Amino acid sequence: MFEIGAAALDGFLLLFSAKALLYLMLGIFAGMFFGLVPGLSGLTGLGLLLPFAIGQPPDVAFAFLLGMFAVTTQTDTIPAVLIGVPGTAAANATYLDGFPMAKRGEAGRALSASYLANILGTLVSTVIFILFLPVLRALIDEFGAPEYFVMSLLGLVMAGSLAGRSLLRGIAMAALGLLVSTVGFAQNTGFPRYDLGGWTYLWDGIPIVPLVLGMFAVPEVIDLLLRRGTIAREAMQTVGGVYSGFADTMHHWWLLFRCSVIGTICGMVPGLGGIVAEWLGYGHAVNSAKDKSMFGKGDVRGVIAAESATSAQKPGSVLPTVAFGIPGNASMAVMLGVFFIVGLKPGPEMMHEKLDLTFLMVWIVVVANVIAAGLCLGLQRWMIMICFIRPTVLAPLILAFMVVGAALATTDVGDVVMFAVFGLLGYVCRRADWPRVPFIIGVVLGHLAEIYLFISVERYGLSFTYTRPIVILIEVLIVAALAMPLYRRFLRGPGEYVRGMS
Amino acid sequence: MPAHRSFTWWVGIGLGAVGLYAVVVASEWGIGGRLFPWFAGGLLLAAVLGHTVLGLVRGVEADVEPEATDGGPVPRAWRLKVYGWVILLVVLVPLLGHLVAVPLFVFAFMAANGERLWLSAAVAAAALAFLYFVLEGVVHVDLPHGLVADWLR
Repeated sequence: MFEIGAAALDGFLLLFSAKALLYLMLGIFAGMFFGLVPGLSGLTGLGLLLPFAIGQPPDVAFAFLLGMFAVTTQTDTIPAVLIGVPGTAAANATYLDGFPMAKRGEAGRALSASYLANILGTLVSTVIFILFLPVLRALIDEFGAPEYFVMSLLGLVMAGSLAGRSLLRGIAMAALGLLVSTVGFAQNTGFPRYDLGGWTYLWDGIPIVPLVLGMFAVPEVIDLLLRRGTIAREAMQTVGGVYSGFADTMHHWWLLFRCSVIGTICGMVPGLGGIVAEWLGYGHAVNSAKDKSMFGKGDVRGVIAAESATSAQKPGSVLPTVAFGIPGNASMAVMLGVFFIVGLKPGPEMMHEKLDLTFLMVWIVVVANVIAAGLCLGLQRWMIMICFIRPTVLAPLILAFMVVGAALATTDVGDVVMFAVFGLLGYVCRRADWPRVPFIIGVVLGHLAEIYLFISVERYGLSFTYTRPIVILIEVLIVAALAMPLYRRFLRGPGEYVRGMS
Repeated sequence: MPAHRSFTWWVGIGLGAVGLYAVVVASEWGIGGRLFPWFAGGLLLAAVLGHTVLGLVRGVEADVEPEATDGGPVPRAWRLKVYGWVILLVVLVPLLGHLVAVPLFVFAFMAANGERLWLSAAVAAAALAFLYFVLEGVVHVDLPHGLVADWLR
C-alpha cells in the first residue's frame, strides 16, 4: 500500500513540471472548445491533437491529450443548459433538466451543480481506482500470454455486444479492426502483409491518426456541414443561482456518490462509456427518487446524477486500459495508441514500474476538471458565443486541419489516402448503423492480441484454451457477454437499445 | 426492412467481401503470418454470414436516422455539394501541398457558401499563418509540398 501511495504522489508531482503544465493548459482550452461546439466531441479533438503529442515524453503527451479529453464533458453542459443544444452526446440527459432550469432563470444553478458534480464524480472514481489497484496488481501477476489473449477477446466481445444495436455487427466491426491491425510487417515473421502489391507506406502498418480522424471526425464534420444553419439562435441571458447549485450538489451527496460508482463501472466495461454512464446515472436518479414529478422539467438532481456519472467513467476507463491493454471506450483506444507511440506497454509494467504514470493519467483527469470548472464559471457567458459561429466558417477550418493532422503522422501522401479511405468507411458505418467503437478497439488491441495468440499457440498449442483456470474463467465471461444481448432482447423484446453509441 | 432494400445489409455484404479477400490472401503465408489474419478474417466472415442470413430471414433492424436541418431533411443537392467539397480537399492536398491547398480550400468554401469575401480571406490567411509560423516555424513539421511542386522542381 505504501508503494501505491508513493506512486500516487510521484504521479501527482509529475504533472507539475513546467512543460506538462503548459501542455495541460493547452489541452484544457482545446477540450473546452471541442466540448462547447455541438457536433464535435472529445474523440474528434483527440484525433486532431494526436499528431502534436507525437515526439513528446509520456507525461507531456498524456497531459495534453487527457487534459483535452477530460474537460469536454464540463463544457458540453454549457450549450445544453444555455441554448438547449448539448455540446456532445454525453450531455443529452443533462439537457433534459438543465435547459428547463435555465428557462426558469436558474442557468447558473444548473451549471454550477454540473461543474461540482463533475469534479466530485472524478474524485469518487479516483478513490475507487486506488482501492481496486492492489487487487488488480495481484491479479495481473498471474497473467501470461494466454490470459492476455482471451482478455483481449473479452474486451472486443464486450465492445461488440454493447456498442450499438446488433451483436453481429459489433463483432464483425471488431474483427475488421483486428484485420486492419495486421497490415504491415508481421511482428513474428517480418513478412509484409496486405501491402497492396508492395506499397511501402503500408509496411509499418496503418498509422492511428488518419484512421481515427477518418473514422470518427469526418462523419461528425460532414454532419456539421449538412446542418448548414447556425447551431444556436438565442442564449439564456440570466445565469443566476451559482452558489445554490454548489449547495444542491453537496445536499445530494449520496445520489452523487451512487451515480459516480455507476459511472466508474461503465468506464471499466469496454463498449459502454460516457453516454451509457450518463443515462444509467440519470435513470438511477429517477428510479430512486421519491418525488419524480420534476424530472424532465428542471430537477437539479437530474443534472447532478448525469454529470457525476459521465465524469466518473473517465478515471474508470483508465484502469482496464493500463492494466490489461483493454480500452474502456474509443477515446481510451486512441490513448492506448499513444501508449505505443511513446514507448509504453500496458500490463504489469504500468501496474508496477510505471505506476506513477498510471496515477498521472488519473490526476490529469481530476486536475483538468477542477481547472476547467473554474474557467467555465468565469467565462461561460463568453464561451457560449462559440456556439454561434456558423458551420460555413467552422467546418472548412476543422476539415482542413483534420487533413493536416492526418498528414503529420508520417508526412507521406499515404496519410491523406488513409484519411480518405477511413473517412469514407466511417461515414458509411455511421449512416448504415455499423458501430465504429469496436472497430477502433480492434485496431488497437490487434497488435497485442496477435503476439499473445502466437506465443500461446507456440508454447501450449490449443490446450491453453481448456487447461488454464483464469483462461477458462474469462472464456465463461466471453460466453456471458455474447449471451447478454440475446438475453436482453428476450426480456425486453426487439426495439429497445442504447442509442447514439455507434 | 427487407434485406435487399437495406443499405445496412449491403454494407455487411461488402465487409464480408473484405474478410474473404483477407483470408484468401493470407492463405499464401506461413503459419506465423496467417494465424491471426485467419482468426480475424474467419470471425468477420462468420459474423457477416450470420447478419446476412438473419437479414434475409427476419429483415434488418438498424438505427438509421436521416440527417435533418432546421428546415427538414437535408436536400440532395446540398448533400452532394458537401461530399464534393470533402473530395476536393482530399484531392487538393496531395496535389498542391498543405500550405497552398488548405488556405485555398478554406477561402473557396467560405466564399462559395455565402460568407463575405473579406472574412473568407481573413480566415484563410489565419489558416496559412498557423501552418507556416506555428507548424513549420515553431513545431518544425516538414509539411508535404504536393505532387505539382515536386513535378515543377
